Amino acid sequence: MIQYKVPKRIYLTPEAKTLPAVQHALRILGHPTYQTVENPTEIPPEHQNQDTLFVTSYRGQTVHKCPGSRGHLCCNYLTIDLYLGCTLGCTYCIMKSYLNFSPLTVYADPSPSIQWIRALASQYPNRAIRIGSGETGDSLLLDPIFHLSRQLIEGVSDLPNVYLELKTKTTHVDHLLDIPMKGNTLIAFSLNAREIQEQEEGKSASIEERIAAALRAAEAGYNLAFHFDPIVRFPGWEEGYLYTIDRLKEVPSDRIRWISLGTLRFTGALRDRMEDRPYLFEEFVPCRDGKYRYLQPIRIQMYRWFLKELSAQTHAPIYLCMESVDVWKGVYGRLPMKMDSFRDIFNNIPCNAHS
Amino acid sequence: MVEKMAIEGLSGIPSLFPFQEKYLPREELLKKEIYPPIPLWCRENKDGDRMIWGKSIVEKLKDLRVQEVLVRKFSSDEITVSEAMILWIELEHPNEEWNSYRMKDFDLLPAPLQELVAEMKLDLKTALRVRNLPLGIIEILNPLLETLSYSQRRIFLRLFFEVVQRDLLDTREGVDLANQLVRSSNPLQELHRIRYPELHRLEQTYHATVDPVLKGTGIQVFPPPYFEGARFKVEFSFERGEQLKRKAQILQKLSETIDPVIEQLTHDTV
Repeated sequence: MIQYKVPKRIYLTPEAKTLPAVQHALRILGHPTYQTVENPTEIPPEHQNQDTLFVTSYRGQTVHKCPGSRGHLCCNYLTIDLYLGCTLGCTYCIMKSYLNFSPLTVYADPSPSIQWIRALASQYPNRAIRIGSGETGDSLLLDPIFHLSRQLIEGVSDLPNVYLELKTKTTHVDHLLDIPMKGNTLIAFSLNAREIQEQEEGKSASIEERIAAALRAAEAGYNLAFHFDPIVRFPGWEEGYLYTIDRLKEVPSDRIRWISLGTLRFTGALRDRMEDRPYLFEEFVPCRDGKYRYLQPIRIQMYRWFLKELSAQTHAPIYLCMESVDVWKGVYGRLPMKMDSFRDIFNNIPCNAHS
Repeated sequence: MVEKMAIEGLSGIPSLFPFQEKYLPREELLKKEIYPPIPLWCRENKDGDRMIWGKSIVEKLKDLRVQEVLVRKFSSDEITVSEAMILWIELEHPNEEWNSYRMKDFDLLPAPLQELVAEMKLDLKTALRVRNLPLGIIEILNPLLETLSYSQRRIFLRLFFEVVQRDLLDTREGVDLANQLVRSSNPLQELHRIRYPELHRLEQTYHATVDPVLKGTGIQVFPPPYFEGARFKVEFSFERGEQLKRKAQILQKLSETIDPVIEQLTHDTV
């Protein structure tokens, strides 16, 4: 049984208290004390940090296009705001650059998002719509407490063109295994070299634990996805990542729906907030989107290596995240829009459903 | 000893610290000379005099057309930077959070970096970043740093710090590197090469191919910035068709050798 640490402080908006997800969470946490606020600005400044949990219902548009990166190819991922913030403590996390002075936030009513997704799916019935809740926080870190993913899964499972992806660095899948209608839901795991997981990914689950959780999810009927992101260059990186890639043999390869690759990247603002970790003293250069990445030839070399090693394990499409046209050409020889396995993913889908 | 000083001479003296001052007595008190004397640090070296505190008071007195200002002068060896900061704190009684953070940050710096920040030769952020450099390094680098612009100084110290961190240089090795760079004819370029060896190698490969063909021709070829991308740009001017023809011939010659190099620079490592 998972033991949950009650957050130091909990703030709720008035309407959130009656939501089933919040009732469930308060029960699981042993009915802790909380304070009521109308909006997060009422939380005292000294409590505006990730030791504070703020729970509310709905705050306007909750489904967005993944921001992607200027000048780089986008996989048209749509994101849902469920959990904003994360306490796993990865040293490279982009959220350090903008969420350090915000509480951990839960938008505990996914029904508007579900309606929005249903409308979009109906508007574009012949397009695959990929949507996930792991952009601004771990999809499953707090989910055993709030059970929001269950509502999402059940809300879209009948839509054949919707692929809901729940991305995590935890093993928190067991509360989802008994859902009867899973639709096209994928449980996705961020993966890394074991050395990077141990040294840079804070309180996240080990690689072995994540693979074991993936196997449980697959046996329960879920499809899987894996994201090697961020790929970090360090002495012995090939051996390090080979260990993780080898672990993929433990999951049924026909369950792996897609794999993405993304080398380490960061904005200048994030770099200023990061500790001086050894991996940050490699050579990084500014790219067209303002983010710093490894030199282009080095990235291409690394991606080619990953493609070769992963292709020996799986036939799942392996795509690049937030990469330039030139890198795509250097790795694959062509752009994703010209490749059958990626065409659906990389052709633009407007993010505006008629209500 | 408190004395009076003409306001014209005082108003041109820069502040020692880059901290915002809020304390300002009422006008009637200022006109009656009821205010703390402005502490001045009179330094004999080329860095000149500095106003430890009171810039806002001096500016207000100038607006009020007051001719003379009460000052307390400190000679070079009478006060240190740390003591000057304590004096600033005592006089200003700051209560804004950001100001007190900046002062706490300033206090974390070793003396050589405090001097650079206090003299507005380095920003506080960069100084904090590099504050754990081995002892003695900044003193060795100071003559070199004097020759650099403000932004070059920032870049130099950051690069130096990153090399020390990356290569885990101990004090002796750090000192050796500092001395090597001080002796260099182009220290910033050399440090850049040490910090970015792979990028430097790409640049060398590019120049080895392009420079022999283009030298003296007036044609410039620019690779993509940091070899990110695959678009190269050409720039030249001409006045007559004959000139254009000659330049086209040179570019034709370059076109025959450049493809494998482009491939190597943008897609492959050696």
